[in-house]
Amino acid sequence: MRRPPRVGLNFLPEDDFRVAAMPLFEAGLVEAIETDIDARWGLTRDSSDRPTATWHEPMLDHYAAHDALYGHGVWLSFLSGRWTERHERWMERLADECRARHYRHVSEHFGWMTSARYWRNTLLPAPRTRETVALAIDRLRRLAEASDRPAGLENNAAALAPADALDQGAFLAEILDGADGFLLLDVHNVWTQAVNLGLDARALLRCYPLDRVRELHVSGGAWFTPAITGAEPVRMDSHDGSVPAEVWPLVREALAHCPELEVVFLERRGETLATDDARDGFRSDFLQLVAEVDVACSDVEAA
Amino acid sequence: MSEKRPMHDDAALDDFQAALTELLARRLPPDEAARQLADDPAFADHRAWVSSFRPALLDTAAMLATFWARRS
Repeated sequence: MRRPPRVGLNFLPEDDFRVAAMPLFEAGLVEAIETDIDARWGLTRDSSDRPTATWHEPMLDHYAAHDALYGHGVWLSFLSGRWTERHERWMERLADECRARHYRHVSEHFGWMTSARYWRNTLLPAPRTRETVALAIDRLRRLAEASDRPAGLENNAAALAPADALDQGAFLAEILDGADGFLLLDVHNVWTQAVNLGLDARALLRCYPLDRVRELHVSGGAWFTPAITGAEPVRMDSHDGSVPAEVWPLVREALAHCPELEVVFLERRGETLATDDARDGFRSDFLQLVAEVDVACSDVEAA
Repeated sequence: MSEKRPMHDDAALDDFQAALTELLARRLPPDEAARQLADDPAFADHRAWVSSFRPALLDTAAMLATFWARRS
């Protein structure tokens, strides 16, 4: 690392998030924020914006003015086979947003949700083919053009088959090399796939193009029991829990091996922060993240 | 934005994604889902991949699809 990465929060409009996060902001610990850049307009079927909390926009403006605002798309459906009017409107709104406010970079999820008659769905992986790589390179270039910012992709937590985990690093490397994009490495997503497929999480993390990592996500999730007799619980990247103990070694691994890392964000859904325990756990996770970055930077200086 | 250039679409991928979405949204019993993935021509282009789907992960995706999927 050439300089310490910033430590920040995925910034959400819910009042429970505000209550949980405000002590961190007031202590001056939140060095950057990432906003779900399409939260107001990405999910709606028409052009109507969703309302936002009154405190939200001034915070975005403040961090933008300090060159510390990052944008993360949620609803584009990056790997949908067919580009539709909805996709086109999304890009136009992205362009408008990036002209109105300064973002360091923008990112989207490596997967697809919409197809044919379905305008909304859960995020799913796509098969790795020459055609999908070409499609993704084109899309990532368009994301960069529309935003006029560096554009990147976040590794997917969802897996249906072992290849979705074992090939994802190389799959992303091809696309990022082709479009000169960056990797948003979500370490909980790596751990989720490893757990669900019986893989070594650290080895899986090393399959990713770590030299292209510009951003880390750190989060928690939950367990789901499938409707299959005797099935082991399945891990989900649901952002509704504290960071599992098993994820912190992956954070350290990423901090040690991502030379272009610029920023690290803690993610937690706002509506899961309604209790004092949840809020304490969230703040504790953030403070640990700050400590991990401090240790990693001290190790580099000492070396 | 810069002048529009033709989109790089993949119609075959779109058809495949539509078929997979329909299957997930129905949240079939695991044996039935596996049978359709193995036999339905809609999945022929990626048969090797869909044949390697883990039943628990398929059911999880189907659960999420029943929650999230919305049709026009």
